[in-house]
Amino acid sequence: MWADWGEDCVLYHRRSGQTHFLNRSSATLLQRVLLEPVGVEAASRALDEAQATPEMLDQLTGVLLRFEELGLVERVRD
Amino acid sequence: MGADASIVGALSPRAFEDRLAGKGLGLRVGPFDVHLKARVRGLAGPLQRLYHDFPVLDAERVFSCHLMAREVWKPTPWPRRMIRLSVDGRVPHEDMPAGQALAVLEWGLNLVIAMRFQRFLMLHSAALERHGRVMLLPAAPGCGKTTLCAALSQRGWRLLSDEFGLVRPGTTRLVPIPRPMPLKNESIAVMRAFEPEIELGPSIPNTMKGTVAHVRPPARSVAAAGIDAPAGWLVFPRWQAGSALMLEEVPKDEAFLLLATNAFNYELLGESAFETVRNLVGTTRCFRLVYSELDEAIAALDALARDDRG
Repeated sequence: MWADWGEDCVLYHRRSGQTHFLNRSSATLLQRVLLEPVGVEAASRALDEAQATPEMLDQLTGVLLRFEELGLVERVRD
Repeated sequence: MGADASIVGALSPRAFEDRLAGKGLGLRVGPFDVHLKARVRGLAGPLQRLYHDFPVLDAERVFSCHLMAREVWKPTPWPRRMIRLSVDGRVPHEDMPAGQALAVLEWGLNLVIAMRFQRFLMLHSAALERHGRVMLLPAAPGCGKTTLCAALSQRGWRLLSDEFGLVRPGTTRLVPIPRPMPLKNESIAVMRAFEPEIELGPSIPNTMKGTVAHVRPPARSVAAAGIDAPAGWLVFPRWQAGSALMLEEVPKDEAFLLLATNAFNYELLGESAFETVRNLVGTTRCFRLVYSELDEAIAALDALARDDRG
């Protein structure tokens, strides 16, 4: 469940009972990943039309790993 | 079962004290029916004045809680008169100096409400109604919440609570629980200067929060304790010595964070708490208030309520 007023976002995760505060970029990334399983490169396109740099992809990977730690997403095999 | 027609103030001082010390006294305190029994010298008079307008309940009912205060002697290092509070027969904390009985009783009732009545989302917040809508003043201790609340209650705002914003989950409606408001330390003189006619209980020195004196809740607020109202504003107040008045809007996401972390039982209620906070934040205007002068703060809040009334 989301609370979203166009600024940062608040997410209630039913499975853990935890509430998470996400900045706009993280929320956009999570919403994209929740739509369907995608790789980090494809997910990055939800954030920016421009080609993601390797540094940016590293950062996004870190964010996705954090989501995984929190139980918000899980990795699937190709 | 309804409340008796009688109010605490209609009892003679002797009858009040006898009942308090004897079979106990049933009081309607907001949505709760509290049974109170106390045998402590010097307590009955101030207690009766502070609860003057509260409905007295007949004894034939199931009470929300039973509070009992009684004197005990602490033998070492020298004999001292202490007060022992019990809640439904259990003693929730160590004995306190008997001179603090009134404060201990009030804090005891706070403890019961905070620990037990989880059917409400409980915000650590003052709540007052103006023009049919409630202003919540959520704040941590020391921010001047009770002082501002007491002052507003003397200027035409209906007191719902100085301590608990009780929200029915799934709604944005606040349930009143008006009670005596404990002023601390410098706030006591500030309030006497602000409203010389204010009805204050005795000053109780050397408590864990310093000197405490309780403001009697306005009679009309107690009489309207059965009338809930929707939230209209969230104002996060902070008293700061010498500061200029500042009333600025707070982004909704920040207001959510401030309000959720302010609630006593957000984690416990889980999803319904999230939904309720989301509804509260989504349907109210949210502000941060910094003030040093009560008159300025009240003028600003009056203007806000008036402007939003349309």
